[in-house]
Amino acid sequence: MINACYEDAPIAHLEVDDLGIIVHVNNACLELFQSQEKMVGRSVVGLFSEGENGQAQVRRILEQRGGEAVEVAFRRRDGVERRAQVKAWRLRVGDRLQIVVFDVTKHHQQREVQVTEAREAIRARDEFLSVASHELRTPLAALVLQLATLQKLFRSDEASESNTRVLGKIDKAVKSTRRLTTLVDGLLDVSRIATGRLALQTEVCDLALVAEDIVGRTADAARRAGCELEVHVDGPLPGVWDRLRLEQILENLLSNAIKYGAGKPVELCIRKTPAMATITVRDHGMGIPAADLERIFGQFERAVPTRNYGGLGLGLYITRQIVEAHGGTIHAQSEPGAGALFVVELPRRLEFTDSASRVGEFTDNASRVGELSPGSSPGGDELSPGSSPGGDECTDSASRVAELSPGSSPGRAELPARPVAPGGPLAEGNPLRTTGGPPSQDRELQ
Amino acid sequence: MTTTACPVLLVEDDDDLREVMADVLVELGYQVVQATNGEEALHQLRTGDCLPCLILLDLRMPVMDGWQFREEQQKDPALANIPVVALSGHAELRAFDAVAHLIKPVQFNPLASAVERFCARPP
Repeated sequence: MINACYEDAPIAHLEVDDLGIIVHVNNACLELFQSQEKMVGRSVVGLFSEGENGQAQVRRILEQRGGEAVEVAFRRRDGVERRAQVKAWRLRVGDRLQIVVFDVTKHHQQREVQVTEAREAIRARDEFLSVASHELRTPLAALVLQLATLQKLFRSDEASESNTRVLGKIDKAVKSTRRLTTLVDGLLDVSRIATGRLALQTEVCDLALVAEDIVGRTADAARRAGCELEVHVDGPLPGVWDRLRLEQILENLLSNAIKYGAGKPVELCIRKTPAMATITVRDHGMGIPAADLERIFGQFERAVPTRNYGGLGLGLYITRQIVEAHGGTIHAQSEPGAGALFVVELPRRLEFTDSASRVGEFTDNASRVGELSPGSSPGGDELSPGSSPGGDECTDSASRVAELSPGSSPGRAELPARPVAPGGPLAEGNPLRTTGGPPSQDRELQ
Repeated sequence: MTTTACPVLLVEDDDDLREVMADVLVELGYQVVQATNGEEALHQLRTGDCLPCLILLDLRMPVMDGWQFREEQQKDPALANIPVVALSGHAELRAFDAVAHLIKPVQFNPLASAVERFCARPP
């Protein structure tokens, strides 16, 4: 039944008996393995390497009289280790088992080359991002300094109409350099995240004070976009966090809310439990389609066409990386047209503070965080009716505070002081390293 | 005898860039009307006293972008003849139908000469 065509087929073929003893081999088989005399009469299993259960797998297809192809290693007649796909079948019950052996080594090598090339391309991109963002920073730093010097020069001069005009222009230039700095910093953060070099500088800090700061900084942009900024903060809210990175989280979420919810109110709400802090930012803008709710946290992603909205699409990606580096979570809830709600949960980790670094001087009362919407009714607004976990805490009137007055009376909050757990959870299993020590040089521009 | 020179309509969504471009044009002696997107620009064109001598048009904008604006403008016989100078990146350079392109970042001299080509400064 084995005809000449079969003998010369370019695929190695063997016929074996019920015990797996080779009865016949074709020519391709001879090229792959050894001479006919050495094969016929011996077990087919012996052609394959023992490693990775190779022989066991071949035995299994013999027992099953066929089934799925298996992939195993074998030593070619020239002694080179190769990989093969082995498939067995019977034409009819009672017939001998037919076995074909495909040498798939080349496919494997090609795939490995492709994977290596792809990895190399990603590495080159990250390297480029890192170099580019550092290179961009240098002239930017010079520009920032020059502008600061100019500002000083013109401020110290007597006020004249032309001086005031020049100062106005310098102020605008300073504003633009700040935007540029933020963009470049974004690129730098991405390259740090990609290369695992973004380190957290954790310390005990008060999220309520950080929020107050950021709300102050964002107020102008909110006003210009026609967004009433409503702020509810259950402070004081100390925790072990990287202060600058906390600022980034809040800045990113608020500026997104203002960007995509222009003309409508934006609500920031910060609540606490003994172990956790929860930040929610709600806008009433265009919302996010369900299909995009996860994707928006990816690198360079956004749910809107780049044609209409500027930016690098890095904000939420970086935000998520920072949140996760702190051991927290972030997610978004939205329906198209109904605005979006971003919820960040951050563990406070106070149990990890060193007894030396006590948390002192936190204000007794709810810390004074600006509420920039004088028109809203006290304690009345529901931030997230029924949707966000524990959203009702936001409406607690005790936590609502008006006016921006950082210097309220100091009270003392004694916090449990326990030794740092060795290799605490901050250091584990996330792409960002956690270190103590002085802030990195990279932040000079901020 | 005074002639009211027609203004330049500047359509750009980035506040900082729009303001500084407007400043430059005002200092060069032009009148400037500003809009932050295509929709606002159409509104200005349809309600303003005097049609602009030139439209400086950013392409990537929210609400109504430069492409959509240009389509609407060309459909309206009253507006179709106003020359448009696009503020564009290299990528959009060829694809967009305009009398001229100013590549971002827009430099002072090209901006000044583009406007000079189409608009008379008030005396």
